[in-house]
Amino acid sequence: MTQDNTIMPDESHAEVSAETDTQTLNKIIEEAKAESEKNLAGWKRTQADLENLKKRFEQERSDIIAFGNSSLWKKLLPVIDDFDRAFGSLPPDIADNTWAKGIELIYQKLQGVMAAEGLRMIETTGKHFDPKLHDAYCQQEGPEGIVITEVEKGYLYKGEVLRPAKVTVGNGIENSGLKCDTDTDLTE
Amino acid sequence: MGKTIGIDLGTTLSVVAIIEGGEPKVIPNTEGERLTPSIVAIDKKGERLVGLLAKRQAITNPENTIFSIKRLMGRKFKDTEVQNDIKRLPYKIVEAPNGDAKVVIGGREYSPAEVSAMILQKLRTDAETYLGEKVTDAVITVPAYFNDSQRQATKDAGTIAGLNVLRIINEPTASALAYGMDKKNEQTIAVYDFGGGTFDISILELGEGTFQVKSTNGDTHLGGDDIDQVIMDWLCEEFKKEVGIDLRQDRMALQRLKDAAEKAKKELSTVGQTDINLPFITADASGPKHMNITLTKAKLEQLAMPLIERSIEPCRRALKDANLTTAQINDVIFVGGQTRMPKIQDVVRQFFGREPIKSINPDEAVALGAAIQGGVLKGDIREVLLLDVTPLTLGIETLGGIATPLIPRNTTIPTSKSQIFSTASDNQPSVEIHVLQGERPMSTDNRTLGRFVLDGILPAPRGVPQVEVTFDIDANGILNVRAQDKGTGKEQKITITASSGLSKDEVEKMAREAQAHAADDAKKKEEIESRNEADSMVYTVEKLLREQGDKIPADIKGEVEGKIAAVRSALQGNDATIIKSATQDLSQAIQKIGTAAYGQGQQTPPQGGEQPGGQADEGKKGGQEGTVEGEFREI
Repeated sequence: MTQDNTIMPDESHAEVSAETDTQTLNKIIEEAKAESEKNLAGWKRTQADLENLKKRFEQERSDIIAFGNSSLWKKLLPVIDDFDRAFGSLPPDIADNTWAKGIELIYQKLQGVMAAEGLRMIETTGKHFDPKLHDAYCQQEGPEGIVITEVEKGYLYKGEVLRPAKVTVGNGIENSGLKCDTDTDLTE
Repeated sequence: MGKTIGIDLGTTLSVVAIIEGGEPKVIPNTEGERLTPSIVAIDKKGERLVGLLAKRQAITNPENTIFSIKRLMGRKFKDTEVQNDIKRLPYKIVEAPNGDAKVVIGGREYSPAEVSAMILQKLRTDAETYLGEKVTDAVITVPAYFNDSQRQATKDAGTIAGLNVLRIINEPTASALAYGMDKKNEQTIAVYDFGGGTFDISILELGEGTFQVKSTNGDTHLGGDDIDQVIMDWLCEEFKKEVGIDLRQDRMALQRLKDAAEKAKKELSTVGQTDINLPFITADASGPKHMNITLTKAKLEQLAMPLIERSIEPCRRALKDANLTTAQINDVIFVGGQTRMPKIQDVVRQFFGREPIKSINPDEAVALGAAIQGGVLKGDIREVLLLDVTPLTLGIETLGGIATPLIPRNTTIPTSKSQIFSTASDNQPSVEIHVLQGERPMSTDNRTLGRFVLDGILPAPRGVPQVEVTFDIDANGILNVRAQDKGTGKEQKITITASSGLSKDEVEKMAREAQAHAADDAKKKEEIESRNEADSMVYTVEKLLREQGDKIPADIKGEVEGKIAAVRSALQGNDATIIKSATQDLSQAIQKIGTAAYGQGQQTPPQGGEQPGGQADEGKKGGQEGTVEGEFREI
């Protein structure tokens, strides 16, 4: 592990006393020992880092396998939101139209795939506001701390929050007629 | 001994990084994100929330949700900045007996250092969860313009969070470390930091191993968010022209527009145009309305230009304060996500007259640099810097003059790699090992490091002998190449010292040339590989006809012989398409042999299927498992 730093006693020291020779040699030995210990410690640390990296790599790999599709589903969520908006505003006069029915069937099929892949909607209306699951969009009149309306659906993917649900939260004030009591983005 | 973390404690977002295997790496928080909002809250139940969870409930709990606490660090209540903040911030700021500014959360007063400590504590705990071990020490960054009181408050925050603060370093200095600037000699560096909300420019001087801040300047109200806003404004105008509705009155529509504007801005860093497609964005009496507007890169640049130009004046002032001209700046480095925008890169390049360096993730550069500083202070970096990488790919020449790589460029050394090769001709008695260095696929375009011959190979059909070639590079960069005949045990080797390689400039030149010629080289290689494949298939099929000819129906045999002739004829020329086509025809023809054999109840399968020498994968697929048919020329 040590390299080309072996110290050769200068030939001119041959005339120095035996005691000085012993001192010099002892010094050389001590320095070599210290270098050796330092290299061994460094080697062990590198080995340990490598082992820890391997463990973390395995964990990350199994996370990727388990949750590898989460970023794809995240990209698809706005498209799924658009479907919700479309069906949310379906004009009553074409609700029974066969073409519209066909599109609805397609959407149901998509929802089936989502469920099969482990996506679940986060429960909102009427539940206690929970920042782990909900993102407060604004406050409005209603029981304090209770989710009043859902502004945007939230989803769990295999038990982990994929996207929190955007919700309005009750402010504990009744009969104020307030839909959303603030227009400012508080957190810059 | 616990780990050391580097922390970028930002006004709106914080990042934590660590040294792992000698490299700085950002640690994700428990929510899986690499950026943690610098927000603290006490909810109605008295529970403390930090980061993303605090942000999500902010609207429901404005008086007890603290954000931008960095603005109050080390400041007195009577400071002008604090008095301005009192007017616009929704939480309460009060005066402590010693005149410091304090905030009130959940009915209790906290110093800004205590609030920052809560953020630091979350970063520390998340790092410990991720690493599975204790974190004891930290390096924390601060803006270059922070005074002593602000720096002390930041250090106190670290101590309150249970961290041993090894050092407080300047943000631009940290980013310079992340870019490896400390490895250079005397340098003057400009750090151009264009983030989400603020713009900062710093001029640093590196001398005798330390960085000195010569000047700083900036614009506290200029950032990527402003570019999002101009895009949103433009979209609203376009929509109003088209549909007659002002979306600025619709809060939910604005939220969707904000997200879409940011997404479009990011996409336009790499593509020429993008669609902002927002179905059902609003509705009126006539029904739902949709937005589908195309935004081009040119239009975005036109919209953003006034904001980008605003960043240049602070650069001029910073240079003036440092008594420097642009010509005296050696390097420009980018920090902040907005610097990914190509137009910003162009403007900065034009102003400073040099190519800015942008190889590090600009959102994370400060935290990475802080981690590097921590690593240096604790000795982690010093030990690992002893390792080097091989700057260019190392390999050998195989059949057709192809350069077959064994050790790819940028492989950390010491390292060793072995691969089995075989012969190109029947009864080939020796192989020549032609050691190459370079990125081009053809050996003539690479540099020869050495050659030697291994002889004494026993007579055998081509592809049968196994010659193991081993490349071994030691920690000093000395390359030993060994070739061993696995059959006879005979071996030869050569030692190549680092001095027989290339200089740094030559390395960079070769890498550039490889890139420039990539398309031509790929075509050339494809031609050679199709030639090798054709040759190999002809050999295999002719062997099959010799050995099994009496069992093959005459008409099929005739057809196969005709196809062989066609391949030979194609090999006279240089057209890879014709060669490939003829090879394909031959491949299909020989399948008839198998079909006929099985159809006639034959027991023996055709031998041609045992030798997958038909694949032209760098001429490497061999007839035996693990054998690589990168054949040698016979000498």
